Amino acid sequence: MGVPRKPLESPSAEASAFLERAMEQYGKATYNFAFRLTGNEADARDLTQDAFVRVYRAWRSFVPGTSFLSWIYRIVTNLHRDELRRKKGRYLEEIPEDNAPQAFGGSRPLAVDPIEDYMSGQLGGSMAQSLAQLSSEQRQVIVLADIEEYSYQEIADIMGCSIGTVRSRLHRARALLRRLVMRAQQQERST
Amino acid sequence: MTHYTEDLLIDYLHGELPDAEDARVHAHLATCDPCRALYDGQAALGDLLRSTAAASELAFPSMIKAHVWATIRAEQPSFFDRFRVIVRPAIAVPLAAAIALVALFGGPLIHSSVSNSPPGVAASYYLEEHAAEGQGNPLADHLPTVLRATNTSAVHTSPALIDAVDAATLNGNLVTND
Repeated sequence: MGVPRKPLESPSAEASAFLERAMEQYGKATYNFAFRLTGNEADARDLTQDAFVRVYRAWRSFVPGTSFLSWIYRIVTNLHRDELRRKKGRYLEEIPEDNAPQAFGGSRPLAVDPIEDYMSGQLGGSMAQSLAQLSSEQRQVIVLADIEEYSYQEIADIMGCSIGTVRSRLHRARALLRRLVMRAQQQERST
Repeated sequence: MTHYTEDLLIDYLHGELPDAEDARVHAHLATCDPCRALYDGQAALGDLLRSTAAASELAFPSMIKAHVWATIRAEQPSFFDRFRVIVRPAIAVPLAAAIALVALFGGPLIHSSVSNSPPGVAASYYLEEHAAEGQGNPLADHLPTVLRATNTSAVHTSPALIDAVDAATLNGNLVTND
């Protein structure tokens, strides 16, 4: 996973201080957000690193007084989407459209290799498994709305879409997730 | 009794309904068991998501910081790159100006210096040398033809020698033709 290379500006004490403080205050939240999107620690680390490098590059575009977390979540969301597209190209794997929730037992959108499968399995629990079966957009909207507890407007800003899209994605994602969790719980009881 | 859709209850759960509608749904849920069950199911899903997230919350790995700084340092321009960026205009601009000045004002000077030089100097030099060699060995080449064609005073060859060479060449030709 790599941020497109572009020559950085000369090192500035201001930019360095900004980045240091951002990582200190929001590193953990950003890393956990990335972890919930990717489902494994290795990708979450890469995603978080790339996001903070972007923060350093674009620190002047941050508007003081606005939410830094919203900004960096937007960066992480965009990087994650780019990475999925890149992987889609590499593995010729279909990323499910938002309007086409996957059927039970369908192919997982993030199934990249057996190691990643194994690592995501280590998260444990029916919820982690069920989240992994959502499309990336559905997972993003669920994480932002229900775990990070952002408003629809804030989610729309982070994901770069309309409130109506956020609403419809959340409705579909929740309906699908609920069925997946119930199914996973039934399987756990039966085994 | 009418019931609310699950989608609307999801919006209610997230506090995304207008105030008046929010109040209506709130009142409805207090009296409608099916809608309450739907709502409770969605609320439980939210609780499960948050509790799972809290239970699986990870510490921020220190290696991320180190990698971020390493990436940034690796992409910083080197001293030479920065020096080149600063110096390039300082060199390029005066150089371009100098070339432009030479093109504007230096052209006539160059032209006049070239036109003042005597034409055919190099050619006459080679002809003189050739003539000198020809004096040593008159039959070696068609020296007279060359000398007459150039018609230059720089070559000092006597008319008697030219005639002798012409005669020898002519005899040679006649012999060959026989």
